[in-house]
Amino acid sequence: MKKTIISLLTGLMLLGGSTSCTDDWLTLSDPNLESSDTFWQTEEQFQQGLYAGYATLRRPGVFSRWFHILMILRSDEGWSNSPNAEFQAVANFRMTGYAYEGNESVNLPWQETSQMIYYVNQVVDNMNDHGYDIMDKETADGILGQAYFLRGIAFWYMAGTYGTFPRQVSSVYDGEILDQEGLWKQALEDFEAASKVLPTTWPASEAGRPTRGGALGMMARCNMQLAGICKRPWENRGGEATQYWTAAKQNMDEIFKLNLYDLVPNWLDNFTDTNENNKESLVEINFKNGLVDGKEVGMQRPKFLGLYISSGEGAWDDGSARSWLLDEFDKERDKDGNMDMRKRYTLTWNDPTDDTNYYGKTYAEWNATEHFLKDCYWRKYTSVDTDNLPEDYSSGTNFRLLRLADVYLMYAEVLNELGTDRATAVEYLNKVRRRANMNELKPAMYNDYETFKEQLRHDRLVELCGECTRWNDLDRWGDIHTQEGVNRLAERDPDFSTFKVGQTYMYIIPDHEISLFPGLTQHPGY
Amino acid sequence: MVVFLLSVTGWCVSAQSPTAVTGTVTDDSGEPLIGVSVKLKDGDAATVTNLDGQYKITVPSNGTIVYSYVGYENAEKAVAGQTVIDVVLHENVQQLDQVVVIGYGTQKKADLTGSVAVVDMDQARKQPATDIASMLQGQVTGVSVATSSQPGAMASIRVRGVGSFSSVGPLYVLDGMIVNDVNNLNPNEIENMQVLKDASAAAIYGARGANGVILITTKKGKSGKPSLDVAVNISVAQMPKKIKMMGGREFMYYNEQAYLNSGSPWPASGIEAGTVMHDTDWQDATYQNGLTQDYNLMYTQGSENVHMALGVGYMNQDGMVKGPEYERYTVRFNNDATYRALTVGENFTYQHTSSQNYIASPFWDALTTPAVIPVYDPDEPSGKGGFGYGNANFPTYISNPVGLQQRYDNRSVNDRIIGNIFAELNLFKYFRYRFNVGLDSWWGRTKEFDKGYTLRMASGEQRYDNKLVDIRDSRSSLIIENTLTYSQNIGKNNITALVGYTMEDVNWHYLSAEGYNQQVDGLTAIDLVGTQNNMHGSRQERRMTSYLGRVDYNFDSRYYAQFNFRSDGCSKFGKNKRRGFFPSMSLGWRLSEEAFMADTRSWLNHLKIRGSWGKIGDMQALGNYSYLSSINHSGPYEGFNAIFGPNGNETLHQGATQTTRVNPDLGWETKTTTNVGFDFEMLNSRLYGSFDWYNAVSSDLLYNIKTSWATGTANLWTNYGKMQNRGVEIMVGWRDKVGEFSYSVSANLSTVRNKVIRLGESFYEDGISRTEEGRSIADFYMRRADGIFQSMDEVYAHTTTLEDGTVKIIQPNAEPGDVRYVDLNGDGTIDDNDRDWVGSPLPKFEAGLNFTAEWRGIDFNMFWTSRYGNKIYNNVYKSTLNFTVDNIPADVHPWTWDNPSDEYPRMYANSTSNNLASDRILEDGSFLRLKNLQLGYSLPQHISRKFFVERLRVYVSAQNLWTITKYKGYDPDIVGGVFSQGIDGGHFPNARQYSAGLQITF
Repeated sequence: MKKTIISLLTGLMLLGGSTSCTDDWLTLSDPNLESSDTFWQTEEQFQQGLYAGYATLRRPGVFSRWFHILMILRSDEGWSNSPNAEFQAVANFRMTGYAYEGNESVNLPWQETSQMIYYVNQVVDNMNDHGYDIMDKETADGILGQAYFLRGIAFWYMAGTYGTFPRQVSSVYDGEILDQEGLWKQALEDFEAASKVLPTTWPASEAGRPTRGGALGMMARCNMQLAGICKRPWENRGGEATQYWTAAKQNMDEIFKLNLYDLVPNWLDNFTDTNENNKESLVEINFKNGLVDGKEVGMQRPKFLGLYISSGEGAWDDGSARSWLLDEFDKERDKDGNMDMRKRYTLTWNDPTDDTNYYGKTYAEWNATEHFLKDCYWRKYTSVDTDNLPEDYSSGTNFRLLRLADVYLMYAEVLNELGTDRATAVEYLNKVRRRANMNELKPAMYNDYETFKEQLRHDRLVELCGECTRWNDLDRWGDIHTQEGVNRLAERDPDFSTFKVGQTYMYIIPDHEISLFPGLTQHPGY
Repeated sequence: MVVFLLSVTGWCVSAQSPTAVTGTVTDDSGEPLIGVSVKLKDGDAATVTNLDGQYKITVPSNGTIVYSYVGYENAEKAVAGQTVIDVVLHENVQQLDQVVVIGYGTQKKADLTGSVAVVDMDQARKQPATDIASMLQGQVTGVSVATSSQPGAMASIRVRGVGSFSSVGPLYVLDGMIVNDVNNLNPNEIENMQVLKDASAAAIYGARGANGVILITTKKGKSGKPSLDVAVNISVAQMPKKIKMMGGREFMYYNEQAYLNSGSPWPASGIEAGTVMHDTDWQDATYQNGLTQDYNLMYTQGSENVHMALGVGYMNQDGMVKGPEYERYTVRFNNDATYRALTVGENFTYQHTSSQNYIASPFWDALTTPAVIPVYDPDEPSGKGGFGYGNANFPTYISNPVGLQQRYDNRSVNDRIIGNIFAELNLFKYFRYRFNVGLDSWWGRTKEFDKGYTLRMASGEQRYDNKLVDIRDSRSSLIIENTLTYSQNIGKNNITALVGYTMEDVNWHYLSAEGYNQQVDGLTAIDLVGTQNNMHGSRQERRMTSYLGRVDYNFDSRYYAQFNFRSDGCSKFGKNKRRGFFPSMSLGWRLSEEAFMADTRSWLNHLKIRGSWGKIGDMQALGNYSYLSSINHSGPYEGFNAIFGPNGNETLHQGATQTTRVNPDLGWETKTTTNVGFDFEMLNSRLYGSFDWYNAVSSDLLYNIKTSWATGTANLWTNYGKMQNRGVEIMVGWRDKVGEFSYSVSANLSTVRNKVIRLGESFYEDGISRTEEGRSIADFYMRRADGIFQSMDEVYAHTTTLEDGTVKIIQPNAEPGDVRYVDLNGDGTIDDNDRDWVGSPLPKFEAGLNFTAEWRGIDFNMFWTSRYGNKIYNNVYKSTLNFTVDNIPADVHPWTWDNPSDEYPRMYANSTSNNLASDRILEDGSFLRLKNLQLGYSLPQHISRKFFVERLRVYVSAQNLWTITKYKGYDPDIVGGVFSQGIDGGHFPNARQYSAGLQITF
C-alpha cells in the first residue's frame, strides 16, 4: 500500500512537471495598459503625468461646473430654486442631508481635486527622485513648477470651500489634516515654489500653462485671505494681518514689474472665446467646445447658470442671480449718463431696451411664452455673447481664474488696508473704471479707510460679478463672520438667514471622507 | 495476491462447456424491452435485446446472466443448463443505484457522502423552460433560482445564498468540462444535472467551486435500436397582471391638486375648455402576448461499443414587451467508441442566437406615464420620432415606453461552440487514464443603433441625429485535463482514487466603434457614419493550472470516507499568492446495512448519515490584472487631455497617470463549509428524503473596498471580507403505485441565514439598502413613516423634547396630508440619521412542491414554488406614489380634506419630503406560486407502434398560473445583486404562460 502511494505521488509529479515551471506560465502582463514600472522614464512621460493633472481642472467638480456653483451660490450673488434641491442646499447652507455618497455637489469638488493632487504628486515625487537625471534642469524646473502650481490651485480651492483637507504632498503617504489657514499657507507655499521656477511666458501654442505672473497673483490672493483670517473676530490677532498685506503687495509689485499685462480694451473679451489668454489674463483654465475623441473638453457652467427656456435651448438656471445686483449696477451711471455697460453683459433681466438675441429670440419674445418669473438671470460666460447656439455641457470659452482687473482691485484693497498710499489705491480703482467708461474717482474724496472700502466693494462687485471671487471677498472682509454682517447679507440674500456664524463658512465635508479618512471630523453646524 | 487469486478463480469457472441461450426480456406489462444489456457475469460474453426484446447469447452452462436496463432493476439468472430464459425486468423505483456524476467521475447515489443535489430530470423537463437555470427552480434544495420572461435571459442561480461580495454564480461543468456559463444552451439536450453544494462535493473543482457547482450531462446514444425524439412546444406569454392606473380625467383632478398644494400655477390650466384629452392605456400600448416556439429533434443510436447522439433545435421567443425577441439554433453531436481498453469520444454543441435586445425599463414607464399623454404626438416639438412625453401642460420626466423599444435597434448575434474530445484508456485492470481537451469559444456581434428619437421632456441637447455602436466580442477557453483513476474492490474494501492535472487558458477580445449620423437612411454601417466618435478595444487573458486528487473508500458499503484536494494556481494573483490549496473530506455511515439493523430492513430500506468539511476557493470577483499597477491613458469621461494654445488652434495633449493604487498581496478567497445530513428510504422505498445542515464561512473575500477620496483614488482590492451562511435543507418525497395509478409527491425546503462578519469598511449603502458588519447583507435601511398628518394640530403635536428641555416641532414645514416620519434619534429633525433597519430582502425560506400522477397514459404534474419572509422595496410603485406629476394607481386616493387618508399623502408638485425612501414603500415579498400545471397523454405503445411510433405524448401546461402574494408589483420573483437586493426597479416579470407540446419518439 505504501508503495502504491509513493508511486502515485511520483506519477503526479511527473504528470504536472515542476510547480515552479508551470507557475511561470501563470505570469501575465496586462496587454491593455502600460505598466507603472516602466513609466516616468522620459520627459514626454512626465509631461503626460502633468497633462492628467491639467485635465482634472476641466472636470465637473472643479472649473467646469461645481466651482462656479459653490462660489456663486454660497455668496450673496446667487441663489437657487432648482428642482434639484441640492442646488438650493448649497445656496442656503443646509447641506446636512447631502453629504452622502453619490451627491455631486459635496463629493465631486473634493474627489476630483484630490485626484489632481494625486496625479501631480506622482510628477513631483518622480521628478525629485530621478527626473533631474533624465532631462535638463530648465525642462525639469518647468515641469516641477507646473506641478507645484496645479497643486497650489488644488489647495487654494479646498481652502476656500471645505476649509479642511489633508496635506497631501506625497503620492504614497497621507499627510496630516490641515485647517483653513494651513491650507491657504500650503497653497501659498506651492505657488511660491512655482513662481521661482515657472517661465514668465509660454509660446502661443502653449498658452494656458501657468506662468510666473499667475503664480504671483495666486500668492497675492492667498496672502490676502490669510490677512482676512487674522482679522476674524474670534482670532484676536488682527495685527498679524499687516505682514500678509505687505506680502501681497510685494507679490503684485512683482507682477507689475514683469511688464507683461494690460487690461484688454473690450471688457467682454474676458468672458468669450474670441480673445483668450489675452494680456489681461494671469491664470486661465482652457476649454474647448464639444467632444474630442469622444471626450468632453468644454465647460458646463453656462448650462447651469443662465436663462431658463423650457424647450431646452437655454440653461437650466439651477443657480440664479440675486435681484439686488441689478440695483448695485444702477448705483452709478457712466460718463455719458448711460447704464454701466457691464450690467448688460453680466445679467439678463426684463429690460424693454434689451434687443439681445438670446438663442434665437429676444427676451420679450421668449417672455411671451415662458413667463419668466425671476428678476434676473446670469449672462456672463453664456453662449449669448459667443455663438448664441443652445447651451450645452461643453462651452468652449476659457474660464479666467485671475485677470489683471482683479489684481488692480486687489492692489487697491491692499493699499487701503496698509493705509500708506490711498491716492495710488484710487488710481488702481480708476484703471478698472476707465475701461467701463465710468467717472474718475477723485483721490481727495477717498481719504479714509471706510469710504474707500465702500467704493472698493462696489467696484469689485460690478467688475467681477459672477466670476467666483465674491465668496472669498466676503470671507476676507469679515461680512460672514459677524451676526450683524450676516443679517445685512440676509437682507439681499435670504439664504443667509440659515447661515450659522463661525460654522457654515466652511463647506460640508463628504460623509464618505469622514468615515474613511482617519481623524477627519465634520464641521460643526452640519 | 488476493486479486490474483480471484481472477484465477474466475478463469476456472468460465472454462465450462458453452451453451447458446435465447429468450425475451419484457417489462411488468409484458411489453418487450429493446436494447437491454445481456451479459455473462464475470465473463466477456455480452449482447443486447433486439426490436422484439429477444436476445441470444453463448455462455457456459453453469454461468450466470446479468440483465440491465436503464430505469429498471438488474436481474440475474443462473443458466443451469437452460437454453431459453425469459426475463421480466421491474421498473426501478429505488434511486439508490442511480449513477450520479461527480467531478471527474461517477458514484452511486447510495454512496454519496457530500451534499449533492440530484435533479429529477423527469420533473424538471415538465417545465417548458427555455434556459437551463429556469429548469432548476424549486427542484432541489439549497438552490435559489430567480426567473424572468425576458427573451433569451438566463435565470439567476444562487447555491446556498450569497457567498461572495460580487455577483458570482455557480460554476458550470458541461460534460465534464468547465464552461464560462450555460447561456443559450438548449435544455432539450440535457440528460441529467447535479448540483454540488458543500465543500467536499465541490472541492474537486477547487477554485470557483465556492458558490456551488452545477454538473450537466448531455444526452448520449444508447445501445440498441436507434431512436428519434421529436419535441415541439408552443407557448403564449402574457403579463402576469395589469395594475389598474388612473385614467386621464382622474389624473387631471389630482394633477391640479398637486399644483394647488404646492402653491404654483397649474400648467394644464391653459388647456382650453372642450379640448379632447388623451386617455392612453400605457400598459396596453406597451405589452403584448408573446409567442414562444421551440422545436427539437434528437437522434440517438448505439451498439455495444459505439454510441452517437445528434440533436438539432430551434427556438423563437417574442416577449411580452413589444420589440424584444430572441431566436436560437442549436446543434448537438455526442459520440463515443470503445475498442478494447480504449474509449475515444467527443461532445460538441454549436449555438447560434440572434436577439433584438430589451431596453430598460418599460415596466416602470408604462405605469408612471400619465394617461393624458399620447403614445404618438403629432405636435412633438423636436420632430424626432413623434412620440408623446411630458410637456408644458404636464411637465413630467417619464420616457415614452413604447418609443424606448423603437428608438433603439439593438441586435446581438452570437455564435458559440462548446466541445471536448477525450480518450480513456483502461490500464492494468484497475487504472483508467483519461485525457480531455475542451474548447469553449464564443463570438458576439452587437449593433446598437440609436435613432435619436426624443422620448423625454428636456432631454437636453443631443450631439447626433442617430448613433451607431458596432461591437465585436469574443471569448475562448481551452482546457486540457489529465486524470488517472484507480478503482479496486479488495474483499469488502472498495477504493477509488483519482489524481489529475489540468491547465486552462481563457482569452477575451473586445472591439467597439461608435459613430454619429448615418449618411444613408435605412443603413447601419460603421463606414457610413458622418462622424466617427469613439473606439474601444481590449484583450484579456487568464490562465490556471491545477492539481487535483480524490480518494474514495468504503468498507462493505457501510462505512464511507472521501478525501479531496485541489491546488489551483491562477494568473490573477501575484507570484507569492498565486497558489491556493483546497482540501476537503467527508464521512458516511450507511446504518441500514449494519447487521443490527437487519430487523428494520423490512421497512427501512436505506439510512445513511454523512458529514463533511472542506475549503474551496474563488477568484472570480477579481479583475484579470488587478494586482498589477499600471498607467491609465484614457482617463475619466472628460479624458486626460490638456488643452493649450489659442482659441481655434488649441492642441490637445494626451495625458497619462496612475489612477489607482494596487495591492500586490491579493490572494484567494476561501469558503469553509461544514455539512451534516442524512438520507433515508423506507416503506419499500416509497417514502424517501434527506436532511442537510450546513455552515459556510467565506473568508478573505475579495472586495474592492472604498478608499478615502483624499488619497486621489476611490477603491482598493483587498481580501478583508468575511461572511457566513448557514441553513438547513429538507427534502421529503412519497411515491407509490396503486394498480394502474402511480403518483408521487415531493417537497423541499431550504433556509439560508446570512451574516456579514467583516466588510473591510464600516458599512456599504445605496440609500435603500445598507450592509453592516454583524447583520445580514443588504438589509433595508431607511426612514420610518408613521401615517399621515390629518391636521395642523397633529403637525404641532409631533414633537421631540431635546436634552435641554426645549420642545421642538419635528416637521415644522409639514401640512395636513404630509407623511409623518419617526424622529429616531430624537434630535427634532428628520434626516438621514433617522434611518432604521426595516427588513431584509433575504427570504426566511424557499420551498418547492411537486406532485405528479399517472393513470393509463394520462399524466398530471403540478409544481409550486414559494419564497417566504422577504421584503421588497417596490421602487416602481414608489414612483407611482410620488403624488407629484406621475400617474397614480387607480385604487389609491391621495389625501384630500374631503377624503383624508392615513396611508397616502396629499398631492404636491415636485415634492421631496413625502416620497423619501421609507418603509411606506417596503412590501412583503412572500409568495406561493403555481409555477407549472401540466396535463399530458401518451398513446399506448401497442397503438402507437402501428405507426412506427415508440412513444407519443401530447400535453398542455400553464406556467405561473396563480400566485398568492401581497406584493403589489407585477412579480415578486426578484433577487438582484449583492449589496442591493430585492429592489423592484421594473424588472422583467415572469409571464403567465400557456403551452402546448408534442413529444414523439420513433
